[in-house]
Amino acid sequence: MSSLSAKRRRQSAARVLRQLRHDRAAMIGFLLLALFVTMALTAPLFADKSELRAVAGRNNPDLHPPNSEFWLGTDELGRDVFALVMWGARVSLYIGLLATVVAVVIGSVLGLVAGYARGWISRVMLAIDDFFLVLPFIPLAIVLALLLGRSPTIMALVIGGTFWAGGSRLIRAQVLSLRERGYVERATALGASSTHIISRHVLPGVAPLIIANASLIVPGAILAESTLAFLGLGDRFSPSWGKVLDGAQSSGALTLNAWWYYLPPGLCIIGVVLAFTLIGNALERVFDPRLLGR
Amino acid sequence: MNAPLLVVDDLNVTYRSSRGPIPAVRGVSLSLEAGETLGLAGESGSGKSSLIMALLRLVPPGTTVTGSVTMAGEDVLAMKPGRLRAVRWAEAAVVFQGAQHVLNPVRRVGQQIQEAIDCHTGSNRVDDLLEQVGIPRSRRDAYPHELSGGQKQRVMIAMALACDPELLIADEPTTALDVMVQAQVLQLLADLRSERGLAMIFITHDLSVLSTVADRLAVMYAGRLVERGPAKEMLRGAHHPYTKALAAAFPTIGDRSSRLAPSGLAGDPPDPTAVPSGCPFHPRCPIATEECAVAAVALRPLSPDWEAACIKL
Repeated sequence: MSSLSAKRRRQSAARVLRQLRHDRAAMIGFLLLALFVTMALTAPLFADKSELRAVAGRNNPDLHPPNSEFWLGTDELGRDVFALVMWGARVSLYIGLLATVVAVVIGSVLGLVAGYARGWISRVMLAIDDFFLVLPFIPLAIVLALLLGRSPTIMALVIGGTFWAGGSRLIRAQVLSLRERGYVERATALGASSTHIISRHVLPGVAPLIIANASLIVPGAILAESTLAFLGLGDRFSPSWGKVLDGAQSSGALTLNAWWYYLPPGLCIIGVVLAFTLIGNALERVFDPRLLGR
Repeated sequence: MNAPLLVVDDLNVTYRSSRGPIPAVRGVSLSLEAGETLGLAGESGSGKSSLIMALLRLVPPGTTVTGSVTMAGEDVLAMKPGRLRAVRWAEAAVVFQGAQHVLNPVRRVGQQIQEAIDCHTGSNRVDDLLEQVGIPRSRRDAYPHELSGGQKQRVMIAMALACDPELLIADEPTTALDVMVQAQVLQLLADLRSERGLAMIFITHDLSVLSTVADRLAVMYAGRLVERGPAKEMLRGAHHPYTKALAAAFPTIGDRSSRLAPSGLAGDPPDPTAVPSGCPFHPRCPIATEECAVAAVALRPLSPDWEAACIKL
């Protein structure tokens, strides 16, 4: 019997994969993402981390255009832009993904509780949600980053800790509808506890929403990180793409027409945001039961 | 003689709404012996469902339930939440109306039956339960949408049997089914009852259904019992004018006059927030007099096991 249900599970997983494979947008998204993940993973093969230090490029020409030695030229300190962009992939993806995990966990838990509980618990949750929903993100993140520090992990926690409110609202709305379903009443009559009902009936009902929402939070989190880094926050010693752009801006690369300095990190940010958005939209299409073909 | 399986005494269920309290059940008392089937009839909104949901405290938060419900010697209304969860389904299981809404559409029916067993560490096997309700065991991996309406209702019955309850509460179990399937489901319930000695409370607004399953009949109107007595006799000759009207609303096969002129009951059931004074049925009652608008009515015995709430009897 278990082999039969395992077979069913394999079949439905195969169906999701098949649908994604036939989705051109999703495939472009996955290819782009694979490219950036490869960049992040292979960065140490191309450049040692010590090359990111400010003194590393002291013997190199400053703001030199691309040549055979420096594929993407050098920055105002003589550092290899190619190395910066490769290592930047690591930092940007790390912050984007960690921030998303944090935002999804907080948002899901609060959304589930706010939707399922009634009375004052629900109202308190809703008030917290509203509070974070209306807070202006950039000033808050700047204050938090200044207070807590600027390492990539702390940046990710700051972004994740302020990015969950919208998803929480979405999940709460779905839970409010699921809570009134007949099968929840049936489970109550079965003598099931709230924990049982939430984990067996409510959570599976909102899981596709959580996954699709998560893949749409990633680009937001990466953009937010780039914004903060561009505004001067972020770690100088493990620069993200946003931080590289910040360097390009402050060194006047735009007026000097040093395109090799600002174009690669900018394109990378656009590319990774595009990749996650394409994947997120495709997941939404695949998981939405109303669009499922019979 | 053992104590009755279920004793309900002066039960009141009052819902809370933005327009004020809504009394749905008003002072109902009844009792049920082990193995006995009680048919509960009445129009929509007469309080049938509120009454039976209150038996297991399955009422929305904020609802007031007063009186007492004693199930197998224990007061349900005074139970702690943990004890209440243990009693639900193990003592009394519910066959809900509209199985398609009560089954989770994204879980296999076998898993959902197993869920009931898991909640109470029961020892029944899903395969055996499915077989008892006449569904091939190969269908346990089906999703609800892959089953017909009658099969879904059978799955609900299998689920209700999962923890060997003493009492089965069937809330209009055949409402959404066509007549043939309805007959099969009723036959199944009747068989299970005689095999297992189940007590049943069977809710319907279709009196013809009750004649095949119920031992005794109770009729509700505006949150109160208006008549109760032996099922067969009551269907042949009810005393209360409301029961008469309910019985007459169904045409008798072979009787041309009843088919050509089905006698209905004019008007609507009263708004529970504004129940008429005196006998709540008097505005629609064919034999009402002025006295009915003021006189208090209560169930009065007509014969040893037959009671009606009407001052004209």
